[in-house]
Amino acid sequence: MSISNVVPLRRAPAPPRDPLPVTDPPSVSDEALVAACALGEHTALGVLFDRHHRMVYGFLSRLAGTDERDLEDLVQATFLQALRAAKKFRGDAAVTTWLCGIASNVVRHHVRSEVRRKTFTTKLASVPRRPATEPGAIVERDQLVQRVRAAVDALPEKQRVVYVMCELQELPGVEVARVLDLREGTVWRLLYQARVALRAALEGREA
Amino acid sequence: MSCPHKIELSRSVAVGGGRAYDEHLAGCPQCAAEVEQHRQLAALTRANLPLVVPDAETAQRARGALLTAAAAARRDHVPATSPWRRWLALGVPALALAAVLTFVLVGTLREDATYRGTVTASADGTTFRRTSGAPDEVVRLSSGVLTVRVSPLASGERFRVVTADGEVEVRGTEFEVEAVEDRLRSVRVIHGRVEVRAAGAAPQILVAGERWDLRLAAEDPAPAPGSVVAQAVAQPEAPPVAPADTQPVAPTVALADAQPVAPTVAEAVAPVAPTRTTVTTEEPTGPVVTGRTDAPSRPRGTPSSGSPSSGSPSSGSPSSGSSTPSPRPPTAPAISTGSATPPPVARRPIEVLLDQGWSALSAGDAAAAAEAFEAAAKSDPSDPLAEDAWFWNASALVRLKSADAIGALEKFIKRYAKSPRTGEARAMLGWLVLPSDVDRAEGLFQAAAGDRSATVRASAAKGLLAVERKRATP
Repeated sequence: MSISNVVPLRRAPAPPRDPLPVTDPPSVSDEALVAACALGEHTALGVLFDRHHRMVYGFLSRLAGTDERDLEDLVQATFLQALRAAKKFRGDAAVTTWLCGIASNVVRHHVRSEVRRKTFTTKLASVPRRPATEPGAIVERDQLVQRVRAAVDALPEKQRVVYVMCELQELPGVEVARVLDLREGTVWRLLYQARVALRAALEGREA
Repeated sequence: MSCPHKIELSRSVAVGGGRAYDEHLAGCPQCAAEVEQHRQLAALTRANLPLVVPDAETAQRARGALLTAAAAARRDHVPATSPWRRWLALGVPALALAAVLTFVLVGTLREDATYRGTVTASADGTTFRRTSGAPDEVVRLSSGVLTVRVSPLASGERFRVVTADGEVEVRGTEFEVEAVEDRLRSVRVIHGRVEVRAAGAAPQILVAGERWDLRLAAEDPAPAPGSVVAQAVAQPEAPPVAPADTQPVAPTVALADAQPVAPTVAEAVAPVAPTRTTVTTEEPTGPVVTGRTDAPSRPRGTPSSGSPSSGSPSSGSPSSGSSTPSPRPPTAPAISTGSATPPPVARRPIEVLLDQGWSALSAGDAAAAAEAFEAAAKSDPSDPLAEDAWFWNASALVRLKSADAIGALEKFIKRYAKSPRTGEARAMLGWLVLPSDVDRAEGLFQAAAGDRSATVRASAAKGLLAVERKRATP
């Protein structure tokens, strides 16, 4: 049965979409929201954003290392892509993992060149940091941040995505494998390779 | 325990490695050091790859931009021409083409539907047809013996063989079912489990080797009241003894209309007060639907008009022979979907009225459809199709925006609480009562949110959002 039969009295012209946040109904699961998104329900997209935008911001900031302005674009692109891909959501991974998979694809398309990536690394200086007590500590911390950032950025793309999802976001490896369309064993191999490469980079030696 | 592979060691940092792994780490400084290095690296990167968390203002701005962009993306898909003109230009020819293709192909391409079962006619003169495919696959058996093999059903899928007075639902893989003059006669399970639901009786589960036979009712010397006659393991392979008054059934259709001679379930059960043996009983369930819910049209394969007199009699197929499950009849079983040369089947009034209802609904005449569905349901309330009829009666009333729609849906939900369509009915009712009773609508949507149909779940989710919106609006 089509939705028009299930919702028979909604034939009247739909009111303008409400741009204001609605109360997040806890009774609606993430999966149901995605299902509603698949039907073009933008209110559901708004609720999905309210629930998960912080996680997506955090994930993208770690994955792409860009500033907040670029982050906004990436987050918006991620949720727009989620709206388009909602029909394909299979429910075999949590919605959070699914969103991270979409975000990683968005970043892959967004960051196409090493030059762009270097630009991101440079912009990292504008990212807010924790307050330090001494000027020397600030310099040291900045240097360490930049070294870690550079080391992560230097990872091959798949290793970087797996490392951020599994290690930093602590998402289940099984679900990461599903949303990235990889075998689970491949995920663990990529994670191991990323760890070895990162350790070598931070210790200043060849991996 | 020898040292695990380095990849395995790395994996165990993320997911843990179990007791043996922990014991190994305690006794292996090399592995322990490796694991410790992984953990330190994780701590270092987490601390130095800062998490950017937007403030409320940024988030609100991003949210607004997102919804605006989503709306713009939707508008991009709206045609520049007016919907009415577009409909005339594209919709009418497309519909006409679809209608022609439907009429041309419906009789020949039924196998395009997804079928989980392979149906084999095991006796001459067997008349059956498929009325719907997966996920609610129904085979309508009028007469003869069918052997059915069903591939494993996914969650939410059903497979049933339906006769005029009962139905057999698959719980396993392979079984044999016999009907005489549109009445369920016997069921024999070869593998797995099936559930037999005969008219006026509690459902029964049969397992491999068990057999259910209506005719044994008359021979049971000490039947217990209140249950259906069933013969289980006692004689799974022995040919059943045909009652003395059993007549040949071929040609089935002609006899069915002229002089039904085999005892119907009602005739056999009521006076004999039958019993059943060694068969577990499940809770009685209401009659279940036939056909599909996803289109306001008649189920696939349902003929648009009956032609009961056009069948050719089969030769030499007495009922006792054709109904004997073992040994097999000498006729070579022909695997068939029942669609290549559909045999004529006598159509009952309820089927005819349902057809009328679907035709009216397809034609946009919801009032006539509602009347036809109601007449169908009332023509034979005990028929499994009555559930179908009541559902579509309510659905037609909803389309009609009739004041009776709410009552019809309530009645359906109450009467068929276990129906696969109850969730759909709840979602519809939720939308109807939402303007006047938000709390009740919320309860209905919550109940429908667990439905096995993704469409119904999505509708329920939209409903719950609408409930929240309505509450937020003063």
